[in-house]
Amino acid sequence: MGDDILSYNGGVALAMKGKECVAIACDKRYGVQNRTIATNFTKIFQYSDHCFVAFCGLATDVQTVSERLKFRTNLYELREQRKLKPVVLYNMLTNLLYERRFGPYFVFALVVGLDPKTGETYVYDSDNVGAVSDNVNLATVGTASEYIFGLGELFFKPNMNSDELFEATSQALLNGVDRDSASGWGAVVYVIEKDKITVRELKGRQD
Amino acid sequence: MVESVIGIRGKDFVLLAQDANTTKYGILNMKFDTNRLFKLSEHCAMLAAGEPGDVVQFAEYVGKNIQLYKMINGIELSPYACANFTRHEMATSLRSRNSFLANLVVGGYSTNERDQNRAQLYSIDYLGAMVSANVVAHGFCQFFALGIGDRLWKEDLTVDEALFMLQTIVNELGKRMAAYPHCVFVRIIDAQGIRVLDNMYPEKIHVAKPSEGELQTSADMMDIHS
Repeated sequence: MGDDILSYNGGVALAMKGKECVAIACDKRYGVQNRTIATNFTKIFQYSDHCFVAFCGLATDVQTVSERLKFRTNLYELREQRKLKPVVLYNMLTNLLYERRFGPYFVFALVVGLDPKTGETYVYDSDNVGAVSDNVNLATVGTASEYIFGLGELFFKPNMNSDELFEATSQALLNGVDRDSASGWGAVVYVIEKDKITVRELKGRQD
Repeated sequence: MVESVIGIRGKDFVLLAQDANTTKYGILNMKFDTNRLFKLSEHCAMLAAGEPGDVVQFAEYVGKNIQLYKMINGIELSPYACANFTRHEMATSLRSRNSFLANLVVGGYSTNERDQNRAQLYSIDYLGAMVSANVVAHGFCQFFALGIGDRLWKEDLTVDEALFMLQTIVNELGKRMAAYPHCVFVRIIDAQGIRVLDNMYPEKIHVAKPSEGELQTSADMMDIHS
C-alpha cells in the first residue's frame, strides 16, 4: 500500500466561488502508485440540480462513498419529495464519514452548491472523518492540494463572473497538477450558475 | 503478480486473454492449462488473478449470484451491471473478516439495445476500484500490455487488429518476463456470446551463436613457444 494510503491512487480536486456561480474541477488520472492505469476517472458526482461533490483519495473509497451518499440522497428525495440543498448534502456527507470514525474511508471531500433563487454560493471541504469547515472561497483536496491552494489564492478575486471563474479554476488546476506526478492526465471543470451548468474538459500535459 | 490477465475492447467485441501457467514457489511450473475465466452470463465473463483460493472463491460467488439474479428476475445483467455488482462485493468484503486478494477483468457484450457502447470492459483491482478502459491488464503484464495498447489501440478496432495487438503483447511477455507464459488462452465475447479462439504462444526467441573469437583467452593469444 506504500507509506501513504491517500496518495496510493492520486488525484486532485478544486472548488472556487464566484459571483452567483461556483466552479468545481478535478483531474482524470487513475493510477496505482507510479503506474497510470486509466485517464477517464473523474472524481466529481452530482447529487442535486446544483449540488456537486468531489472525492479524492483511495479510488475504491471514492466509488464506495459516492455510491453510499447517493443511496442516502435518493432516500431523502423520496421521503422529503424535494431536492437537496448544499448545506444538507454537506451535513449528510460529514455524518456518513464520521460514522466510520475508527475505521475511516480514505477520501477527502469537497461539496459545492448554489441556491438558484438567491444566488447564494456554497463551498465546503471535509477530511476523511467528516471535519466540518466554513463556507469558504477556495478549497482543494488531493495529492496536489498544496500546490493548487497556492495558485488558487493567487488567481482568486472576489465576485468573479463565470468566465473569469472558469479561467481561474482551470489555470490553478492545470498548473498545480504539473507539479504532482500522481495527478493530471486531463481535467474536467464544472461551472454552476443559477440557470445553467457548463462542463468543460481540459487537455493539459498528458503525463 | 506473475499471472497475466488482459482485456482488449474492440468494435462490438471484447477479447479476454489469460496466461495458462500455474507456478509454485516462484520457480516451478505446475500446470500449463489453468483456466482463469469465469462465466458470469451468456455475454459476460470475468478473468481473475491473484491469491489462488481467493480467486476461485470470489469469482464463483459472484458468478453464482449473477446466475441467481437471472433465474429470479428472468433477465441477463449487462456487463456494466455485472461489473458494478462485482465491485460492490469486493469493496464490501475489503473491510470485513474475509477480503479477497483477486484482481479482475470483467468484459462482455451488452444485449440491451439502448446501450450506446455494446462492448464493455472493466478492470477491478483487489481493493474494489473499478475503471472502464479500452485495454486493461493485471499483474506484471500490465507494464507491457498498457504500453502496447496505447500504441496500437484505435477506434473501431477489428478482431484481427486486436489479435495482432495481443500477439505483440504475448511476444513481449515471452521475451522480457522471467516467468513467461508458455501458452495464452484467448476468448472473444460478442453478440454471439463467448467463444474460445486459438491459443497464443510467445514467439520463439532466436539468439545468434557466440562467435569462435570469444573462446580465446589472452593466454591463448600469447605465443609461449617462440
